[in-house]
Amino acid sequence: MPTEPPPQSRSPKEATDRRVAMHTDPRFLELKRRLLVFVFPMSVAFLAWYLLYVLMSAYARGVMSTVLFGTVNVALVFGVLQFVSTFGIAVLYSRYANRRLDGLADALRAELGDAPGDGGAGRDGTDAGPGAGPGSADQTDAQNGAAR
Amino acid sequence: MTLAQEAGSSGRTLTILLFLAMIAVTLVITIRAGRQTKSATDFHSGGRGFSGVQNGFAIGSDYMSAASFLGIAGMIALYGYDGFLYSIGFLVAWLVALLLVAELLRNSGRFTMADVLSYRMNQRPVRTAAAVSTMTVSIFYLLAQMVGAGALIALLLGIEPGETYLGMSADTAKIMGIVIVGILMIVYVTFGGMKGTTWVQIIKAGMLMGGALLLTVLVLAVYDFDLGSLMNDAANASGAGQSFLEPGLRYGVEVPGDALQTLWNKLDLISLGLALVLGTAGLPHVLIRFYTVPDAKTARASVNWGIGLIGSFYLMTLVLGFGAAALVGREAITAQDAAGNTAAPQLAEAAGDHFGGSGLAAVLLAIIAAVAFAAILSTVAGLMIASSSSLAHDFYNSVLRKGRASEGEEVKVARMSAFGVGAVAIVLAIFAQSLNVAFLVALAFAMAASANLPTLLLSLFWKRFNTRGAVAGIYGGLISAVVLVLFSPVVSGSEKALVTGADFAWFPLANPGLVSIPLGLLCAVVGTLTSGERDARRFAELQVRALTGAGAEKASTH
Repeated sequence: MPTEPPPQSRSPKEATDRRVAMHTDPRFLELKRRLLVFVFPMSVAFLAWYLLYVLMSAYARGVMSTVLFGTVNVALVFGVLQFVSTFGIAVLYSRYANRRLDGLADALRAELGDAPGDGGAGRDGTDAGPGAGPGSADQTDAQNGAAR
Repeated sequence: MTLAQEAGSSGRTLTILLFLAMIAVTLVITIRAGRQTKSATDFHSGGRGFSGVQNGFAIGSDYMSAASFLGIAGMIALYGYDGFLYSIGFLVAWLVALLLVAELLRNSGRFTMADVLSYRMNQRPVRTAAAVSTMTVSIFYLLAQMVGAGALIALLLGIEPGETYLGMSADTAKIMGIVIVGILMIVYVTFGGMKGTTWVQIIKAGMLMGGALLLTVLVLAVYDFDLGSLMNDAANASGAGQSFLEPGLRYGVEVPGDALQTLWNKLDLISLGLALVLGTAGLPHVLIRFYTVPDAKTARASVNWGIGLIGSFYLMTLVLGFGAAALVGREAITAQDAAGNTAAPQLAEAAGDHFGGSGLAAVLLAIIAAVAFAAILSTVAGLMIASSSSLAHDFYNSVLRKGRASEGEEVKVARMSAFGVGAVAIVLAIFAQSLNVAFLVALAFAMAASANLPTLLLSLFWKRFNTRGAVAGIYGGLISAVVLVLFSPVVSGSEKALVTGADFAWFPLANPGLVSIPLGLLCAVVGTLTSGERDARRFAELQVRALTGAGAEKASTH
C-alpha cells in the first residue's frame, strides 16, 4: 500500500491538478484499459445472452418446450442457466478486479493523496457555489477556481 | 372461507401481534439510529459505515419488495413459467450495477445520483432534472407499493367484503393499511435517516430469506424433495397442463387469429425485459445504497451479496409458486385475489395444515403475513429516503441555495421533505387505491432505464457529454416513458385499463421501454452534439476519481 505518507499538506487546487494530470498517466491508462476491456465486452455478452433468452421465450416456443428429461424442458434449463451465468460473471468480475484492478487503483490513489473531492459540487464556482455543502466548502471553492 | 377465518380468529390475533411486535422492534431501531444521525452524511448515507454483508442484505431488501415476494410467487402459481421469466430480468439487471455503476458511483459521488451526473455540468439545470427524475421514479414506485400495501393488509388479515374486523370493513382496512404504512415510513426516515432505514431493511431481508427458506423446505418435504413430481402436480392442478411449464401463458400471449395483437404481445415482452434489465441500475433508491459503505471494494462486495440473496430468493420463489399451484390450487388462489398476491400466505397455511393441522397452519400463516408486512415497510422506507435526500441535497441545497445551505439546514430540509413526500404519498395512495396501479412498478423501471442509466453511463464514459445532453437525456427519457404509457392500453382502451369508458390509446405496448430507452439515449446524444460546451478538465478529474477512488468520501467516524 502507500509507500510514502499521503501528501495531505498539499492544497486542494494542487490535488485537483494532480488528478487531472493523472488522466494521461500511462499507469492510469493501463487501469482504465484493464477495467474497460473486461466490463464492456462482458456487459455486451450478458445482455445478448439475456436478450436471446427473452427472444426465444417470445419466438421459439417450440424449442423452449422441448422436454429434455422428466418434467425438465429447455425453457427451465435456459432460465436456470441465466442464474448460473449471473452468479458466474459476478464471481469472475470480483476475481478479476481483485487481481488486476484493485492493486493499481490503490497505488494511484495513495500517490494522488487523500484530499477529499468535492463529491459532485460541480464546476460553476460563482454560479452554483460549493454544491457539496459545508465541511468541504473550502476546498470546493479552491477547486472551482482551479476548474475555471 | 377466507385466509384467516379458516385458521380461526386466534390466527388473526397472532398475525396482529406479530405485526405489532415488528413495528415495536423497528421503532426501537429507528430511535437508536436517530440518536446517531446528525450530519448530512449520517442522514443521506447512514455514515457510510455499513459492511458488505450488511449493505448486501439492505440491497436485497430494497429490491425484494412485497410486490416481488407475493407478486412473483402469485404469478408463478397462476401462470407458471412466465412468473419465473419475469424474475430473471430482475436478477440479471444486477450485473449492470456491478460492472458499470456501483464502484464508479461510490468513488465519485456523495449523496445522490445527481452528484455524479452533474459533476462536469452546469449544476442547476442538471441537478433539477435529476431531482425531477428521482422524485418521479420514486413516487410512482412508492404509490404502487402503498396501494398494494393497503390491499395486502386487508388480505393478510383476511377481511372479506361485507365483513368487519375490529370494526373495520375491508375498505376501511385498506385505507388504514395505507395510512399506517405511510406513517411508519415517515417515522423511519424522518427520525432514523439512512441508518435507521438500513437496519430495518437488514432485519427484513433476514426475515424474508428465513421465511421463504422455511416455506420452501416444507413444500419440498411434502413431495419428499422430488422437484419433478412437484412440477408435475403443479402443471396438472393448474389446468394448463404442460404449457404451465413453458413460456407464453402471461407474456407474449399468442392470440389465435389476431396476428397483430400477437406481434404486440411479443414486442411487449421484449420491452418489459429491456426495462427490467436496464432499469435497476438507474433506480435512485438502489443507487444511494452504494454510498452507505466505506469504499468501492465494499460496494462491490455488497452487490455480490445482493446478487446471491436475490438470486437464491427467486429460485425459492419458483418452488413456492409451483407449490401454491399444486397444494392450494388456482381456484382457491384467485378466489382470494385475482392477481394471486395471496398465493404465498395461502401456501403457508396449506403446508402448515399438511404437517401439523390447523394450529401450525395458523402459526405459519401469521409468520408469512408478518414477513410480507416487513417487506412492505422496508421497501417504502428505501424509496422515501431516496426522494427526500434528492429533494434536500439536489433541489434545496444545490439549486435553491446555490450550495450554501449548512449541513444542519440540509438535514432539516431532508426531514421536512420526508414528511411532505410521505403525506402526499398517503393521500395519493388513498385516492388511487381502487385503481389498478400495478403497472407503475414496470413504469418506474422503464423511466429509470430511459432517463437515468444512459445519462449516468454517458457522464462517466463519454468525454464530449455536456449539460444540454444530460438535461435532454433525462427529460427525454422520462417524458417519452410517461407519455407512451399514458397512451397505452394500460391507461385506456382495454378491459383492465385505468380509465374506463374512454379509448385514447394509440401506443400498442403496455411497456414503453423498447421505444423510450433508445429515445432517451437519442435525446442525450443530440442534445450533446448541438451544444459546444465541453470540459475536458472536469471529465479527466471525474474519471480519475471514479476509477482510483482518490478523494472519495470517507466513512464518518463517530
